[in-house]
Amino acid sequence: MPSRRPRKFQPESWLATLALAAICVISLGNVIVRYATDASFAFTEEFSVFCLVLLTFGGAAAAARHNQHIRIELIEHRLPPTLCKLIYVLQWAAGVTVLGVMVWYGSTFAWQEYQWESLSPGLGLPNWIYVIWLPLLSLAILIRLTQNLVDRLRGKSGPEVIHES
Amino acid sequence: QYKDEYTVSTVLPSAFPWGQAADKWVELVKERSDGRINMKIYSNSQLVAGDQTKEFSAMRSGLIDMAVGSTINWSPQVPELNLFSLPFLMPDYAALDAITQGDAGKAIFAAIEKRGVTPLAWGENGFRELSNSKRTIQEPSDLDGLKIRVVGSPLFQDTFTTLGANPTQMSWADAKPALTTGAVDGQENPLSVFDVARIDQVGQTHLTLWHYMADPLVFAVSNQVWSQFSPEDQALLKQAAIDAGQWEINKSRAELDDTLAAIKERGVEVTELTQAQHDAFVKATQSVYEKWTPRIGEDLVKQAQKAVTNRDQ
Amino acid sequence: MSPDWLMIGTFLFALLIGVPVAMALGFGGLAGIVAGLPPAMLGTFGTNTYNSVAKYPLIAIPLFILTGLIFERAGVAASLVRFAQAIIGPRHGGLTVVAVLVCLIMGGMSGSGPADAAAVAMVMLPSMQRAGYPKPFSASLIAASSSTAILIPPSIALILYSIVVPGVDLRALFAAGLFPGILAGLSLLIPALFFARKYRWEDPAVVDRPSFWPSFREAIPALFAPVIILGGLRSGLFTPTEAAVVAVAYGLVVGCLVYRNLSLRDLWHLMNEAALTSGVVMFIIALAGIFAWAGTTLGTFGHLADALLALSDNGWVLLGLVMILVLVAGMLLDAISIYLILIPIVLPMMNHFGWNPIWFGILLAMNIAIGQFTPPVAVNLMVTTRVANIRLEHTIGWSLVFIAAMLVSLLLVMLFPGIALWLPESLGYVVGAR
Ligand code: NA
Ligand code: NA
Repeated sequence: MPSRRPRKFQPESWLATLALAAICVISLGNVIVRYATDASFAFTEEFSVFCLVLLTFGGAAAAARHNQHIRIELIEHRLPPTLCKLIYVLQWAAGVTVLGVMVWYGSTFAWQEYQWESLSPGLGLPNWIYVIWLPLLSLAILIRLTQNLVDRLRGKSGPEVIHES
Repeated sequence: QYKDEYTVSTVLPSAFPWGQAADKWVELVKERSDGRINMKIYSNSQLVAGDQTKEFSAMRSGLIDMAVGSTINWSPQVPELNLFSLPFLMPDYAALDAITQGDAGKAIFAAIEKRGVTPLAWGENGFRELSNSKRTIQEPSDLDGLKIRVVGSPLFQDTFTTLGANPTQMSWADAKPALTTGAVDGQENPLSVFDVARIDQVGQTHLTLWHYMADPLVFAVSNQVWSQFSPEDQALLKQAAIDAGQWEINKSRAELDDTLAAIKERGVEVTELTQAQHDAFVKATQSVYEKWTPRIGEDLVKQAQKAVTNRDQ
Repeated sequence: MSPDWLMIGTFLFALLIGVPVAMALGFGGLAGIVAGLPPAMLGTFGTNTYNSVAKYPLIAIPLFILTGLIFERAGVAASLVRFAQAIIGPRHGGLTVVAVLVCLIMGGMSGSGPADAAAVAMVMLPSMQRAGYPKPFSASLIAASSSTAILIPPSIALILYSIVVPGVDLRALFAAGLFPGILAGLSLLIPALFFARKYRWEDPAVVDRPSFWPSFREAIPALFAPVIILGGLRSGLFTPTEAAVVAVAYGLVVGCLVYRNLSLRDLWHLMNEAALTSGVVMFIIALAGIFAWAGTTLGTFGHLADALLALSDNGWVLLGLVMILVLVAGMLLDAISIYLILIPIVLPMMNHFGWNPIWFGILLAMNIAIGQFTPPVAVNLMVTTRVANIRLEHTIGWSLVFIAAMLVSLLLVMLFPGIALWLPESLGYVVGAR
């Protein structure tokens, strides 16, 4: 049941896809190199894990655009349209509160890591260059949630997609 | 206004000397404050979702009130703490004590304070020994191609790369599964950890006593919490930490022989290095000093080396 | 209201008004922290959301999601169905056996149910309808049998369990899931065959049987996928993460070169879809991390565990209670949230009664698998009913039948731990005391 979403350019969706591709390439490269040469580039694990973070929050933002996060939809199917809109706003408000807190404290954390010159434990790179992506992508999720709310209030609903878990 | 309960973060729980050090601190503080100051221990770095290298940052931002932490795990935030990770800097316990109890120790506490956390006392995690699932290790070339789990600082990356091994940085929570599945061939940890965590059960059957470094533990308090205590209580917390640390240092050193015997009994092959073999490792790792001395601080490294040379023996 | 109840209440309220599970978890955690902890502790939203997902073993999750999608899109389901039909032949209920078998094999390629459910439903629903099976029955059966994908290795749920529960070997868990997964699948066949005979669905005279050898040849590449994944793990050639990426590579080779229905453009779209799905799953892990952190720091989980332990001294009674709790949670929540929320609560019980952690993990996984086709939140059923173009409500009757069947197999694994533990023990993994 392939979901054919409108393929507009979404930077966070590209970022997440590239991150997944990078994880595949690094991991596969590691397997091949290990069998071919008895060496491995274990140090790349720091990059792989960082790609996983990009994948997580970038993918979550892309999913938020079309309301594709796993949730219980029962109540919406049982309410009159006006109340339904109120529920949409409440859902949005809860999401935005959580993401707002993530943006705020994520930026604080990134700022502190920058200010105190913390280094990454594996490769010794400045740690803020990793951490900064958390508030940035949380902000992206927040924006996508809001765009989705506007769509839903206008009566446009995206194609529903079911995700695994 | 004091909190009902203060959070204390550790990496290892009560079964290990590390966890016992924290237990003792909590117990002494509670006793001496007549129950006014209560602390609760969260082990396995659970307050930072298992990522022990984020413990220091979390303490600085007030997410964690107190911690008994390892110098290795805090070195991403406090570069001076890499001092203890310099390979083969400290040949024995006297050398370790000479550093922590001397001027070098004071300089390190000042560095920790400068980075936003109040250090109180030293504890001990012990000399770290090398184990692996593949072969006996007696000389640097035996390490060729072995994938070794390390934690916390790129210095380890350099030490093990220099020795021809393949280091990978990984938190303790991820390490045991990785050893179990053979994703990683070896690891380095104090004997007490090797013993209690039953690392022999995950195929680590070759153990080399090479004493290449020891990571002291540091008892510390977040500045945000520290400033709220009265001067009397600050002194109380500090003295309790010093006493708990001394108690734990004595205890873990006294237990060492029994621990080693227990490990041997389980069929682990234990290799002790001869002086010549030891020297070969020292020689092989000199490049690490050239690279890391500027980052740690020339003065501090010199101070430490002097303390080691002049130690009581 | 105590912070404990405020946290749980806020979470449930948010969940019920349709806030996405991930954000409901974050919102509950937020309420708990604001009510019961100093404001500085909100900083956990800046560090622990990151730390919860920045873990190397979790890399296997997006990789196995991608594997599942690749095999789905490569069309292996169709060739497996033809092969199974060739073996089983036309008889009353024959197609139900085909559906279950194919779901079990597909489960050996993907880490979770919905991709399998979609693939099998698309191939089998039309032929089952032609053979006279009612749509709600077929949709329920496929949803239920594809839920075994989280038991048959690889399994995203079991990867998560091995991360949350210290000292559990993922390979042993994977091995332990195999027989309970097969048992669960077979248990579905008993009611399926009974009703197929009773209502005389699938007239043997009108269904054709594909010939054996050509369909076998076509199915070989698909049949090899589980062999490569399981064999690679068993031989110690690969770590689970490596097995996942090897499976991705194998899937690409099969899809692009053997079945020739994957192009580079498709590959990008597949990656994009996998990234999105992984984002949804991993975002739950990130915010469930906050909920778990708040629950731990507030002591909520400890209080709940104590309250449960105070209910009875009898291990079996409590095990039953835990299973009911997970079953109820399975009605409302997805697999990952259940693991991350309930494990900190039930782990003290596991330690208290000395339950084998691997066996217990499999029991939880079986129960969570049942949750994947228990309305109202039933990911697999949502997929199959959409393919069948029917409403989820129509399937409730049949779903109950299959839930009952799978509960029986759960009970069997509960009473005979050997069903789960025999394989990992004979493969020489450390499984701990029985
Ligand atoms: Na599976
Ligand atoms: Na459900």
